[in-house]
Amino acid sequence: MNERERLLRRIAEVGFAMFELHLFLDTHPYDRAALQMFDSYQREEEALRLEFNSKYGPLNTMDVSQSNMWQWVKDPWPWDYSFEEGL
Amino acid sequence: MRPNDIFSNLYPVNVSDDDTANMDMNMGVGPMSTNRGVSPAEMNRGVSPMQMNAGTAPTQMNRAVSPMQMNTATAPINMNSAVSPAQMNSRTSPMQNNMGVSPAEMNKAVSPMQMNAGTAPAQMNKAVSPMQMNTATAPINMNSAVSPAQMNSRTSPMQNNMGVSPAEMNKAVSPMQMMNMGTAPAQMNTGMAPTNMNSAVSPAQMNSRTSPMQNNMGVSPAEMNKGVSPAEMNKGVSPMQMMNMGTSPAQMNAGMAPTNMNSAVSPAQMNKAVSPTGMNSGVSPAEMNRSAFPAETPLAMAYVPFQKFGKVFDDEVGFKAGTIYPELDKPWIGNEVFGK
Repeated sequence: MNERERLLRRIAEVGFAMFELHLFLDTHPYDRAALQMFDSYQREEEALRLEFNSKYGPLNTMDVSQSNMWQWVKDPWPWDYSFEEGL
Repeated sequence: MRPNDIFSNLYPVNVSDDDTANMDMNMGVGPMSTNRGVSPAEMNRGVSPMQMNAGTAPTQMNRAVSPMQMNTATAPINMNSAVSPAQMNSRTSPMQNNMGVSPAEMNKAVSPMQMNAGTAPAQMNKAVSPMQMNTATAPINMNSAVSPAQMNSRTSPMQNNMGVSPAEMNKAVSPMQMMNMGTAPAQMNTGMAPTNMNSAVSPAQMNSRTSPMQNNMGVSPAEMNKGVSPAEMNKGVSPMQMMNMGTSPAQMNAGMAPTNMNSAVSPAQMNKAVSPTGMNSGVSPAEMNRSAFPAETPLAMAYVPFQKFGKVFDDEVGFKAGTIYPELDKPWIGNEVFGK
């Protein structure tokens, strides 16, 4: 697992935890413990995403930064990776 | 069967024979179609109370029908007078609502105030002369607060008043009382029917957990209303509050299920009664004391226990497990149990 994959994996893990907390908070909107946990995950996710974006390009179009080129179409695309490279 | 045959049961347009009167009046049709081709005589002949009242606005009825004619039939709606649509719809049929109340009690029960709720005096007088009102129009007045939609929804007025004859209904209410003029508070309070109790209830209250039937079950109208002034009645109070005001604890408890108590209680209030299990420091008061299950879990109803926030998996573990909540981590162990 290279650095890029590790970062992607972290983003997926943190994102999943956020979504789990999201579901819980839907029915427990005042649960402070869950709110705090969501908040910390949110900050972590943002940092991870920024790191990934700066190193490997945007994860979604919201992350596309100002540039003289549309970063979104920059290679490689997911199907450009070999099986060995993972993800 | 032709498509038209089907619709003929629904829309007056295609009905051509003697049923015309019935159909027109039942189906939420406006005044025009109701009155246009139907003579008062026809109306009386075949229309049951239920049919007459279902979808027709009160004032419109007056225009076409003479008071005498109306009198023979329209009484049943009375009981529904102030009930909002939601109230009518919610789970419980009006019939259940009144269950156990004898016709006599019912008649005694309808308070003038409530009957008039929603009806402007002007409208009442428009079509009917005072004399006529005395003899007959009581039902119409009572209906005036009920919109067609309300009547149609799921429950037929017929069911609601089952057991009460139109004649008895009318006997009970004098025109004067209906107009709200000159009625002493004492008269108004003497024994309200259960339905009246519900009349001030907001839809939300009605829907929440308690059916009107449970509400009234076993409590005689007399007991319910003892001591409640008309002013209090009209305030828009929930049934529980109303009962509390004028009823002694003994009477209140007589036949009522505990669930009733919850009907008008907000979640926050409910928590006060529940034991404080699972206190989480950062949880709102409403959630803090909330038990995993409602106090009452009736048969044939399903509940999902209310989750409490506790320890969670590390996000790496949670990602693999498919949940960050250990209590929800239920891996498939079928292969271990049954073999491959």
